[in-house]
Amino acid sequence: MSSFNISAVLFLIIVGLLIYSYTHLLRDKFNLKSNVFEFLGLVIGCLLTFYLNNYLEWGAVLASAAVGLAGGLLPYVKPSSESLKSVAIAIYCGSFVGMASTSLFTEVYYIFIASAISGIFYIYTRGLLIGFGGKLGSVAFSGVLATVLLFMLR
Amino acid sequence: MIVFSLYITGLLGALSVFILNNNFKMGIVIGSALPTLIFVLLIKAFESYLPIELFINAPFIFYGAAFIGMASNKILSSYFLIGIAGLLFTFIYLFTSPFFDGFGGALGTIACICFLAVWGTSLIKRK
Repeated sequence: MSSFNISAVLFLIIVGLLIYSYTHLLRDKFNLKSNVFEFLGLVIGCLLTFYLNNYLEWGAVLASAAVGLAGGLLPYVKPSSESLKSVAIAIYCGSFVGMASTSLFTEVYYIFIASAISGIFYIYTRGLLIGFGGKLGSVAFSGVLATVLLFMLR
Repeated sequence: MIVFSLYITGLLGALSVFILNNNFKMGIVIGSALPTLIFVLLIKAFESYLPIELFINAPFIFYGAAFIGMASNKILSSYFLIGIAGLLFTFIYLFTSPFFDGFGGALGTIACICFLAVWGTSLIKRK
């Protein structure tokens, strides 16, 4: 148990260093503030959906759609804001990660790590497959699959 | 009959979201989350009248097909092909759902596979 916690902390440090290198390398093109908001939006959307889905037993679809709709209403708070529009999409993507069940992620930190990996994938793949159906779900699935491969198939 | 209803659900999910997203300009998030929410609440309201298989699978199929409808009409403008993608989604979901049980994002991945397959068809047709 304690060895896992050390590996989880180590993993988060590596993720932090990766983000730092990425921002340093692409500092001209990189909009740090917007990316951080999107990353946080995705993680919050994921955790909220996971909670509604598994702990309040709303069911995966209802929980995800409700969180997605709540996130989708954010741009109406300030219609001129472009970052709120992108955060809404990130929250929706996070809600797909949160559709995972407790039978797969028995501990909460697994889902946190899955959302963090999905968040990084989301930021990296921002310019790809724009307008293609299922892109957000695939990003979410990549994060979940990466977590399963990293931590659960040991 | 249940399987046929599930295919109709997939078709309706993809087409309704595609129309709301592109024709009514509701955007991808609200355009897919709102109809899904309404659909799931309706299914829950009529729970006692519906067969259990339909009650369990229909929300997932509608939501997954809705991801196909999130596509832009600049990429794929044919309603027919979007409908076919919705049907294809149902077909794949019915066979693969046991393998993806509990995985987040599985519906989106299946939707992406279906969309890309249908998009490929449209490319061939154009050539």
